[in-house]
Amino acid sequence: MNRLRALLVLIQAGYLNKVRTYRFLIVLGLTIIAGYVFVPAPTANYVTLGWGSSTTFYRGTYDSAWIGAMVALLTSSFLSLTGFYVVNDSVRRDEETRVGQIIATTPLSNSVYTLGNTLSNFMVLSTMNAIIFLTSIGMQLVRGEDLTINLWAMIAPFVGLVLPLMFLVSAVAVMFETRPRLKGGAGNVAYVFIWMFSLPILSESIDLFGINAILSSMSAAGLARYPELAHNSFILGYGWGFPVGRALATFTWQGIQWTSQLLQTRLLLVGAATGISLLSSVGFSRFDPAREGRKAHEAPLDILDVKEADIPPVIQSMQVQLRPLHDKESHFLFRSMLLAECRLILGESRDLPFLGMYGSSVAGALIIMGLFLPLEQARGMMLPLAWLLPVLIWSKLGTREVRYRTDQLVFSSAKALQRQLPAVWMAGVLLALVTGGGVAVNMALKGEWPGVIAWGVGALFIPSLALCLGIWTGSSKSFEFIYSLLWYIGPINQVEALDFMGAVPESVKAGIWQYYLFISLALIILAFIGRRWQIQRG
Amino acid sequence: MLLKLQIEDVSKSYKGSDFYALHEVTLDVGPGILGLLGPNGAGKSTLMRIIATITKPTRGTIKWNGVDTAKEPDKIRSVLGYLPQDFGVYPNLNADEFLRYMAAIKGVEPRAAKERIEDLLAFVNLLEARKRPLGDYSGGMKQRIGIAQALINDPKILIVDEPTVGLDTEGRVRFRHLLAELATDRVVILSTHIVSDIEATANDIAIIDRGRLLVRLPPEELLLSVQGKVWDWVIPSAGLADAKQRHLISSVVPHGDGLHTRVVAETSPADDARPSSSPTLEEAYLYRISSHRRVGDG
Repeated sequence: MNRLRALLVLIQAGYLNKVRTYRFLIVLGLTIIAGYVFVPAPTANYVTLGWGSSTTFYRGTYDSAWIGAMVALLTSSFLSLTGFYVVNDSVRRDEETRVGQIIATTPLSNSVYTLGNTLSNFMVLSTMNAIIFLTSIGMQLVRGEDLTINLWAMIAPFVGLVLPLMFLVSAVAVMFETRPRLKGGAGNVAYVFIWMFSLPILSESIDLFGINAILSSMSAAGLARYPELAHNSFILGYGWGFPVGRALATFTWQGIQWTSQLLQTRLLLVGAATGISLLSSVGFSRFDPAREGRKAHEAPLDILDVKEADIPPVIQSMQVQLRPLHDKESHFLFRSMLLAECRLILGESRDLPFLGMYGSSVAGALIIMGLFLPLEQARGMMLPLAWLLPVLIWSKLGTREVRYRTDQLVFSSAKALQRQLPAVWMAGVLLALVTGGGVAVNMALKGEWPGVIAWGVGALFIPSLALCLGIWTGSSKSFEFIYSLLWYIGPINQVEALDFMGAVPESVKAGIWQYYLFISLALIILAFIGRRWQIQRG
Repeated sequence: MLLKLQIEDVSKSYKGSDFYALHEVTLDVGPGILGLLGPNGAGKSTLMRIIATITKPTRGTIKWNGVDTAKEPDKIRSVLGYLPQDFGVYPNLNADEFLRYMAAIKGVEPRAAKERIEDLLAFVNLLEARKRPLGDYSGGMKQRIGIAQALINDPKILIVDEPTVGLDTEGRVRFRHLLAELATDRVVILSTHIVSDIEATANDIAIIDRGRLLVRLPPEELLLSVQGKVWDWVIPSAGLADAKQRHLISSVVPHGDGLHTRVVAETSPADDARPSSSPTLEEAYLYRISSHRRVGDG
C-alpha cells in the first residue's frame, strides 16, 4: 500500500512539475497547431494522407474514422520524436534541485522511482494526446464533410495506437536519464538518430505505429471505389506542391479493424515499455555521483577523497598580503576574454561523453582526412562528421551562466553584453574553424573558393544557432535536437536547402550559403537581444 | 578618490504581487563596513542584488559617486566585487582556470591577474587544491572561491551576501580581519543574519526587517539604545516554558539556584528581575526586530 502511495505521489509530482512550465505550454500550443495542420482543407496546397497524382487526390471522407486515424498516425510520428524532449528531464531535475539526494535516503525503491517517472512522463504525453484528440473533433466540424461525431471511431486510434507508443517513449526517456553515458546532451543527439534509423525497421518488422494494418484496410476501401488508385503514389506525412485546383476523390472508410495481431503488437509495446522502465532501475546510481562511471573511472582516489578536513582552514596564514592592482592593470582585453572562453569550452569537453581525449584524437584524424581525401569525400563526409563531434560543446553556448548559476557573477561585470557574449560566440566559431579546418584548406588548395565561402558561413551559422537557442530556451536540448535533425536531413541526405555547411556541391552552386549568412546574422542579433534582456530584466 | 553610494527611497515589488521585498529604503554609504543585519527573508539579498545591478528597483534610485546605477550600470560594475548568497561555479574548471576566467571578464590584465590569483589562492588557502575540478569542492571550499572571485579586480565597492556560510570559526575570524583591512579605502557592504559576523568590524549597522530599514547606527550607539531594556532574571526550570511564551528571552544558563535568563523587554518582566549592565548587540538586534513586529502586527 505504501509503495502504491509513493508511486502515485511520484506520478503526481512529476506531472505537475512538467505541466506547470512554459515549455509545456509552448509544446501544447504547437501540438494544437499540429492538430489543425494535420487535417488540410480541400483547397490547401499540401496533403497529409491519401493517394495522389498531379491532377487528382484520393482520400477518405473527413468523418470521425478517417480523421481519428489520420491524426493519430501523424501524432504518433510527431510525438514519438518531440515528446521525448518534453519529458526527458525528470531524473535530471531531481538531481539538479538536490531533491534526488533526499529521495535517495527514503525507502523508495529504484524500480518504483523509475516506474513512477515513466508514468508521470506518460501522463504528460497523454495530456498532449488528449488535446490533439479534442482538436480533431473540432477539425471534423470545421472541415464539415461529415458532421456526425462517432466518438469510438475517433478515439480508438488515439487510445490503441498512440498511447502505447507514448508509454514506450516515456520509458525510453527515463532509461536514457538513468544511464550516465546517455543522459543529457549525448542522449538528446543519440535519440534523434535512433528514432530516424529504427523507425523504418520497427515499422516494417513489428508495425510500431500500426501504419501497415490501417493502410491496408484504407487501401482496400479506396481500391473498391477507385480501381485506378493502385497506380497512384501513397502519401503519409507532408506532401507539398499539390495544385490548388486539383480534383478530389473521396471514399468512405469504416475505421480500424482491431485484429488480434494489431492488439498483440500494441500489448507488446506496453510490455516492452514496462520492461524498459524496470530495467532502468538496474544500475541506477540513485543520485550518488561516486557510483557514476565517469567519476569512478576518471577521478583518481585522491580527488574522490577530498574532504573539507583535508584542506587546511580558510585563510590560515596572516602573512599573505593582497597586492593592490594599479589602474593600468585594469583594462579589458578581448583576447584574454576569448582565451578564457576557449579554456572554458575545453575544460567542459574533458567531461563530455564521446569527447575528452578520445574525441580530440578523432577530431584530429578528421582534420587530417579532410585535408588529404579527394574533395568530394572530404566535404561530403569528413566535414559533416567533423562538425557533428563538437555538438555537445556548441550546445552549451549561452546556457552556462544560468545552468551553473554563475549568472549573478557574470552579469554584474562591466559591459558583459559587449565583452563576454562576443567572446562566447567567437569561441564557438573558432571551434568550427579548427575542427573543419582540414576540409577548408583542401578546398582552398584546389581552388574551390565558393566551397570555402559556404564552409565559412557554416562555421558562423552553427555557433550562432547554438547561442541564440541557448539564450532563448535556457537549455542545450533545443540545439541538440534541431541541429541533429538539420545535420541529418541537410548535409547527409543532401537536401540542398538545408545544407548549411556547403557539403553538397549543388547547394554551393545554387548559393544556398547566402541564406545561411543572413540567418546567421539574424540569429546573432536575436542572441544579443536575448542576453540584454537577461541582464536587464531584474 | 570619491567613494559614495547613495540609496534613495528604494522599493522592490514583484510582478503580480502587492508584496514589497523592500520598502522605501534610504541609506548613504561611504568607505568602511556597513553591516546589513536582518532575519532570513528580510530583504537584505534583494537590496544587495539591486546595488550589484542584478535586479532593478521598482522605485527609487541608487547612485554610485553621483551616477544613477540603473542608467549607467557599468560605472559601478567596473569597480564592483560581488559575492552573492547563492552562486555556482563551472564544475569542470579548476580554481586557477575559474579565477582566470573571472579576471578576464572583469578586465584584469593577464599578468596582473596571475599575481592576483596567486595571492588570492594563498589567502583563501586553496593553493593545494588549485588544480582540482571545482565540481569536487566541498561547500566551504566553493565559498572560498566565491570570496576570491569577488576580490579578483581589487574592487572599490565590495558587496558580500552571507559570506561566512560554510566557513569554519577560524575562517570567519580571518575573513572579518580581511574585510576590516579592505574597508580602510573601500565601501564594503556585508549582509548577514549572524550578529557576531559584524559586531567587531562594522562601522555602521543597518537592521532590516520585512523589507523596511529599521535603524542605522554605529554598533556602540546601537548598544546604548538598548540600555535598560535587557533584564537578568532567575526563574525555576518549570517556569521556562511560560516565561518564553510571555517574554523575549535572549539566553538561558542553568545554575544551582535556577535558570539565569536574560529578557529583552521595555519594562521589567518581574519584581525580582534586575536591569542588565551589559546588553549585547544581539539583544539590541532582537529588541529592534521584536519592537518592529509588535507595531507591525498591531
